[in-house]
Amino acid sequence: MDNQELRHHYHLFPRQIGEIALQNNVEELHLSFTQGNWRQGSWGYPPVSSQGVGAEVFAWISGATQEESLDKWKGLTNALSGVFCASLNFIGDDNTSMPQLAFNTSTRGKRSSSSSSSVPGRHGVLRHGFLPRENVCTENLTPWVKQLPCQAKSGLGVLLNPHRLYNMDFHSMGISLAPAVSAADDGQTGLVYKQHVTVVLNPRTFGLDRNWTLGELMDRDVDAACPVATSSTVRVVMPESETRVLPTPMRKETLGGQDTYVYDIQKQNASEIRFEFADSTNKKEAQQRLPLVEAHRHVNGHGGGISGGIETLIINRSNQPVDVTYSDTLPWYLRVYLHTLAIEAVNPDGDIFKQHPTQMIFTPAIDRGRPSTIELAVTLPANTRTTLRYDFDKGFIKYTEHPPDANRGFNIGPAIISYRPDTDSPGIDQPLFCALQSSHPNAYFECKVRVYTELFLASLPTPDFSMPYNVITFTCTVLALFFGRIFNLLTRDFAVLKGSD
Amino acid sequence: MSPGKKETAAAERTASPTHSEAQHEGGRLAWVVGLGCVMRLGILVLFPDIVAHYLSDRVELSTPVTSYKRLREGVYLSAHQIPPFEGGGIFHQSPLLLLMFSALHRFPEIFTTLAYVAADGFVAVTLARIAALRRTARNTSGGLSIPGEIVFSCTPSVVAMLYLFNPLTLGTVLVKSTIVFSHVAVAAALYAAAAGRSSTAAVWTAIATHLSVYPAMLLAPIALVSTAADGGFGHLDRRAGLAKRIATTVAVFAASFGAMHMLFVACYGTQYFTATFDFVLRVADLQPNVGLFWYFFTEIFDEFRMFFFVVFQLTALAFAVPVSWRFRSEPLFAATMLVGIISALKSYPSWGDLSLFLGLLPLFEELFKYMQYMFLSANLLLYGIGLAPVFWHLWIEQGSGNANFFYAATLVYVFGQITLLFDLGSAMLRRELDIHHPETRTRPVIQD
Repeated sequence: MDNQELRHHYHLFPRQIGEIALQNNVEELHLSFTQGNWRQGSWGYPPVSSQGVGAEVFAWISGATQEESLDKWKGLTNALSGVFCASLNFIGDDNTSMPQLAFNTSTRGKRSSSSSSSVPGRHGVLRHGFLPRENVCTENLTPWVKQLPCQAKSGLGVLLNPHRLYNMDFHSMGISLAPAVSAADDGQTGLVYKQHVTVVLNPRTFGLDRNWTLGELMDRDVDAACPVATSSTVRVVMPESETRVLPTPMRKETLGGQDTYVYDIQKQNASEIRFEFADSTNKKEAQQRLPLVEAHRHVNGHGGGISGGIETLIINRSNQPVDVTYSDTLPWYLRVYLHTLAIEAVNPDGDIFKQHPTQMIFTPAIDRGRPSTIELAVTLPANTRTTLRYDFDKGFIKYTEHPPDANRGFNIGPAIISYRPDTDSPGIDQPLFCALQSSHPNAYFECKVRVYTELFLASLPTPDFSMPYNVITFTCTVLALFFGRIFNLLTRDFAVLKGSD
Repeated sequence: MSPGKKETAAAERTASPTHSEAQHEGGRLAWVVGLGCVMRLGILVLFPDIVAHYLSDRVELSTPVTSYKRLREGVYLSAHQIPPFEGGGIFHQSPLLLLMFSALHRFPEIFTTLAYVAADGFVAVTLARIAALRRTARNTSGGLSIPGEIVFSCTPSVVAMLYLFNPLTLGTVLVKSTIVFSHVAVAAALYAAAAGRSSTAAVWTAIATHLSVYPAMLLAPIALVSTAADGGFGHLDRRAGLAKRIATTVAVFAASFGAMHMLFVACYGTQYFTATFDFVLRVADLQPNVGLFWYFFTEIFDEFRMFFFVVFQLTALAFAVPVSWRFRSEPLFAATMLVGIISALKSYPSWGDLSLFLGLLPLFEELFKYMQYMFLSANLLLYGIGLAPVFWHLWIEQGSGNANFFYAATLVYVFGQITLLFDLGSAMLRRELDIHHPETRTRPVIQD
């Protein structure tokens, strides 16, 4: 994005983010902080697609040379670390990867119908950094809220009560900065800034049962909408079971096969939206609502304790084959043996099919320099459980490289499985977040779902931390014995002992 | 010390073996080597699961520069157009092995097994032939024996048997550690040197240096061997032109090393040099092994890392020329000492290195009566070898011990090797004294 072309709307657009983006040649930026496990089997598609526990940053950064874009990346992570009070400055060479398959990397076509307007090509390089050990708390929420035009003073921002937001089963919040074509079809390009927060709350935690209002849930009262907002709406996705939502919405829409009620907050009071759940809570989710692909990852230990294996189970629920890309980044001290890669699909009848990836991109690790990245494009047969496994060896790291609590081990970030739901097929609906996006044009948007697996802990064998000096002296003693004896051998001569005859 | 008291009075064996004895000997050697190879093949083919479960992950037998699993990874990466030496992460073995195994892996698995068994068999046969050469030389030339001495010459088949049926050798070939191929090159170099063909020996040494860096030290004794046509076994040729002969040998070594380097650069780029030679000298991977380096460089502070690399590697490498010069009357013995020094002090040793050293020892069985510390070194080695797997299990698998246990076992192991080396060296010196001054055989001597 050219400086001159960008129109600065700094009365709404947060100036901090805008200046960071301009200074670091950011073409597109996504940042999220996540805590908790997204139950893929029960909760459906997540509203915004990022469920990797920890802090995730990925950005397309343009630069004349590789070194320049790397410098800008480091500048970006450090600046974001300051803005959001998070340790994003720890994203360095050894946990930055450059995935090619998992994210939308190609230049997409124009969103507008006019053939004369064109979307500027995305020339930047994608860099992805993940901090699995990053915790999310109020310290990160406060600067996040500060970026909103009305902050927590009016409008929907009032509902962000940290006491309720962090008493949760799942929480994800973040920002995204994406290039877009103006909806007015005049071909103007710009950056669209979005902030998202996803939280899964259990009303019973707060003493509420089946009948509660939004204001009671968040313990906040929304007086008025944000005065500078063009529109301020609440959209309620109606669940399957009999539920009453009061008052009557402004309009009803169907998105992605689901009924939604839309409330205009400029006219209605958000905290008065009341939910009344029926007695018989039907827990069975419609099969359509579940995501097509579910993924879980765990570690196998086998062999002498320093070798292990990563096993990812990917479940394809649909009746058609799905093309997924699997992307995994492992730090350099877990040495990957790619020749042990094995992919097997099992269908409900118990037949086992050996699969081969249609595409494989492997970036080997550089010791203390770069993590290893494995990206595979695999076709999952219909209605199967596919297991993808490969071996690794745990490396031995220096005394000073172990973290303070050495026996805990290192958190290893999630694997990302991404796919495009084939919404042209009958019975497969668009995920809600895709349906919502199509009403707000993003130049490069295509409906790509990313599934994040769980983290795991890699516990590396530790040396004894209490005796570096002892080790040094023992080893040097043995070496000195060797040197002394051989030196003696080489320089001394025998002589007969006199008087011994 | 007076070995004369240990001898019993008996006649000395004088004549070299007769033709029928030699045939007999050849037959025995064939039996021994055949049995050894069959045993290895049998275990590898019939019990691969047991081998894989108990032995393949042993760090005492496979190191980051000799591991078969890493070799397969390197072959796989190069077959998929991913540069195997980039980043120096996982593959650190010679491109020579990469080329060899890329070709071998096109065939069924059994061919790889046969290659390893054949390599081991070759080493055994070569050691036997060196022993035969030495026995012939000792019985014909005067420089190696003392009048009035009982000579129990170690028969070649016994040398081969002691190498093949050594559990350390067996373990090394069962895990398919690639040190076996380095032993092939070293053994071939020593045989060529023993036969007086120093140029051939220099070429083999260059191959061995490419396979595992340290055999470059063997160039020093090889440069000193005789090329005399009278079959002087490995003796220092005291004819004029010694400097010229040394220069020739070094030039042949440099030329063959350089030629192979050019070939590898053409195939894989100069990255291979960083990933193999620089890696070994820098000790970049701190995976535990039976040597001294890994724990030291795990615990050392970063500021001193470079200094101690230099110190450790110098201690290993600097003794090449002094040892060769001191034992210049028998360069083969100097080479054996250097093989022992390599085994004790290389940066990624394994039990396989010790097995070559122990395989060369029986060639010098006339020194055994001069050695004073055999019981000590044997015990140290046995304790070190026996306790290392136990302490590894306690540290890694059970978690009730810590790294110091295993480290202590490796200290004992290395100290045992050092004791053996020192003992061997001083035994040789004493024997040289006895050869040159036979009257001192029965009188105590001291070193001054």
